[in-house]
Amino acid sequence: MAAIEFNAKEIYSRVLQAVPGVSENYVINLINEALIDMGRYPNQIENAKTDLKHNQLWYALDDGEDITVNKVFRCTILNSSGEYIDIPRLSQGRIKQFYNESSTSSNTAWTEI
Amino acid sequence: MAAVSSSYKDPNNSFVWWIEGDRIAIATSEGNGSTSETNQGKFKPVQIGSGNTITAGLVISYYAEPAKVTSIQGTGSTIDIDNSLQPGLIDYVKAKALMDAAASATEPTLAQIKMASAQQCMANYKECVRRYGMKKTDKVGGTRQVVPSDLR
Repeated sequence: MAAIEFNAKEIYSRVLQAVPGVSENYVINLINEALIDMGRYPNQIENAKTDLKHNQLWYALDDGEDITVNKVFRCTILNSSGEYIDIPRLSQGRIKQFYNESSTSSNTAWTEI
Repeated sequence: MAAVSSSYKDPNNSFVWWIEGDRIAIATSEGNGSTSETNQGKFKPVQIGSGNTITAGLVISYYAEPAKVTSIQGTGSTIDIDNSLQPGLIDYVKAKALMDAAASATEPTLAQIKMASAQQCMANYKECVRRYGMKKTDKVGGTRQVVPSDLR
């Protein structure tokens, strides 16, 4: 167990010492603003899985998904032995044929691991 | 829709990924898509039979945005960042609250004091997150040692 592990209430009480009279809602908004700012730096690493679907090229990563992705740095595919194998990133980011398979948030169900 | 097992021996040889906007593309050279540009050896979407899926066939690792705080206590009040960065978060919240308080202060001296405190808090935040954030959350911490080479 860590020596300090704040929740919103404890942060609120600390802020009250510096600025008396601020509302709880205001502090929650500021905490979320701080979390968004902190999310811009590579401090939080997470993994998520989804099903590979036949003939689907695109998998959605937008904010409407169950995960909030800032930057993907590794991608792995399940092999026949049940292992996840790292696959390379295609640097030019395109293949010869253009596919119109859609990638709406409804057809990608990510689960955080 | 049927779940099928993965038949890929080494996906590293036949799969690629890339990002375009807010979506990720997964293409493979395995399988046959039945057109001149999607036959065996050409990059195309995964070919595993119409309606089929490989359950949990794709895993990504990513830098994530921390989860939102929704309430002041109980469920939804947990701060989703490493403990070492939480003092930085307090500094950020204090800085912003002090800046707003300085803006609405009627007495100029009071406003100046609040603004100076706000700037100090913001400087602490920047040092904590932007300058040392990665080092603080790095689990390979501890003192570093340089071993001089043996020249004998």
